[in-house]
Amino acid sequence: MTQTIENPTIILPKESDKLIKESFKKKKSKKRVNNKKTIKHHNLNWLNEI
Amino acid sequence: MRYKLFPLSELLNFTSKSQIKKLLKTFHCDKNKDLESFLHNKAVLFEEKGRSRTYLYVDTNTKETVAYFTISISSLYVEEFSKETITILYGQENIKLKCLPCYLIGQLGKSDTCDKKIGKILLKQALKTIIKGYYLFNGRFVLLDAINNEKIISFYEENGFIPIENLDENKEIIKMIYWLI
Repeated sequence: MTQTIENPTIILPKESDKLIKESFKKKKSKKRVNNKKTIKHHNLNWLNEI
Repeated sequence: MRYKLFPLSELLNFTSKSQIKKLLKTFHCDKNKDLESFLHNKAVLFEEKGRSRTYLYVDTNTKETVAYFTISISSLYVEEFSKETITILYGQENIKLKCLPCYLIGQLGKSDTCDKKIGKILLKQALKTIIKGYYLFNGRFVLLDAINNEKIISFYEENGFIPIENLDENKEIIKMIYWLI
């Protein structure tokens, strides 16, 4: 929404306090974008040679 | 594929602003006038002022904007939240915090002329772009404005978002969260 982009700060209602806590518990059961596939990782084999 | 993704910033570097505005005006969305109006009137300005980044899906046959998303960095006001919630949002205890940085998906949607089911691709692309930022700068969560409609909320839920406002009928917009950690 344009208003949310325009405002420098997002203000949520009080009810969000409880819902944020619940969302954090629920997050593991949610289907999410695979972070590992999104980013090209460095070759770190040299670490084993230290 | 007929539809190709372009960052608005790249298009602005390549050609004139008037040419870009013509391309943006090809986007129409009667169901969500805010989505249309932002692209027509604010997207270029916000790009130039460093407020947000917009990415366009363009139909390479018709040269029309068929879908887009806008992402930005925002801050969430947390002063009135409980200690426990601030700890969850911040990652460690800190009672003095007033605001926390977050990523924001400010706009996301397709044009009336787009006949393809592009929503999932669009959302995935927006998240992939944010995840690149997450790897570079870190961060803990993404916020999104969802239209308070059962179908739309379910779509976002299927893709990892969770509502953080009660689904009250009187509300036009519901904020949703996506945890990056």
